[in-house]
Amino acid sequence: MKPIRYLLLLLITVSMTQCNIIPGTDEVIPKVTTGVLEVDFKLPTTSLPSPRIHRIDLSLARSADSLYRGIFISSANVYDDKSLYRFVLAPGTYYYQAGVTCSCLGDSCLWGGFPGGRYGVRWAIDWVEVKLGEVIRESPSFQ
Amino acid sequence: MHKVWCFIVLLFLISCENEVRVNMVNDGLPFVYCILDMDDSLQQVRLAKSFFPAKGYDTLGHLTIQRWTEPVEIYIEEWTDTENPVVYNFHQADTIRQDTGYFSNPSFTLYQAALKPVPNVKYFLYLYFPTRNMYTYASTLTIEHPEILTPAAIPGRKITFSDMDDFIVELRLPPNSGFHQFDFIFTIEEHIGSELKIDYFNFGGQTYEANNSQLLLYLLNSSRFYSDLLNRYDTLSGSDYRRITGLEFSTYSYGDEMRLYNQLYNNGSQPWEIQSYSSFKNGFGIFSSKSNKRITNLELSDLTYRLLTSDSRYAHMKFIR
Repeated sequence: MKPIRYLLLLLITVSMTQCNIIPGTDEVIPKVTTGVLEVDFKLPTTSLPSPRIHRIDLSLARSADSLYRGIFISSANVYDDKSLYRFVLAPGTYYYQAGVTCSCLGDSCLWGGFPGGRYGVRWAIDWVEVKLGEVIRESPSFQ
Repeated sequence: MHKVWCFIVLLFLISCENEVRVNMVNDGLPFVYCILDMDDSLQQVRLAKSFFPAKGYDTLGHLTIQRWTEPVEIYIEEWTDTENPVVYNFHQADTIRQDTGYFSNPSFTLYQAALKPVPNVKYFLYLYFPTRNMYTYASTLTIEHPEILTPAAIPGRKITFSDMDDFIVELRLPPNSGFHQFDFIFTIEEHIGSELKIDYFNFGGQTYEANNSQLLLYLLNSSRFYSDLLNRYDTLSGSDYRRITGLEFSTYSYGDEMRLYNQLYNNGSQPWEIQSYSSFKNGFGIFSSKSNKRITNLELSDLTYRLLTSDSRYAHMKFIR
């Protein structure tokens, strides 16, 4: 009879340790299944006036091929006055693209490094590993 | 002496009347609407006759309004300087016989004047009724145009409505304004059978702001975007389809009078409750100004299109790209 009692006690102990219950309450801590990617989307350093440089795209894809074909799993609404963008994602590898454009008049944009001149786009493309329960900070670097 | 006392007592007896008449004879009061359009050179005044509500008015769902038949002179004074106001006279419109929308009631008479309002200027609207020898009047300080910061007309920047991101509208509000409405306006082609129908889907919000010239941030929830879309568009079958052919953002700002008017109107628990705000003296109604700003040729992101066309929750609406 004694071994059964020990076995039951062991079972209860094991089952209690498996449940993520907050001590003293009935609340269950949800199991973490995601990681966080924070993109610090800084504008590239140029000789152009900064109000004339605009963020236009920040998109994520599961593979380089999907990124190329525009099959994104997330696209952020980007703003001129916001540089930090946060994505809550399942762990894994993600490919991203960040785009900026220039609205200066004349040929300033061309000489500032924007291909084609006004409203030409400079891209930063890279990949990042999102880890379970971790916050990864990434800064796109423009060529 | 005795006779004098008798006379005084008699005077008291006949002079005492218990009924006090609070209201005048119920011959109606002017009911006036004039919202100066800062983007138009033709301004309109709508005039009707309103009465104090009769018993049981709440069962009617509306107030009693009748056409104004008495002679009236309507004019606006524009006070660009403190010395000499410019006067604009209104004439009864003969081009529009029946108004639409809020003013579809045929009791409203429409008056028009050629006037392009100037921002930040005081305007007085006067209605003179010669038979009553009465003026009804109101004043307003005109507003400027709002500035739309987001969405911005930057080529390549697209708008995303997805489970992972909402959209934040950023507006710089014009001086003297108090009430703002804004919408994304989607132009949607519906190809049903051999028919082509153009539909406009508005997605936006409205807000009251007491402070002028401040930055307004308003979050447009992506899940509301999709739920509104699902509420409006049903399942299509066969080879029928829908296509988004245009996207623009439009915002209207109104003067502070509209803020009071709308706030008091919305505070009522029933739609037929009487407006308790009027900007007119000797009448009911509102005199304010409005201005519009639009950004056209906006684009939806690839992700939004993919959700609309392929996601199992929305694919039955049969949007194509």
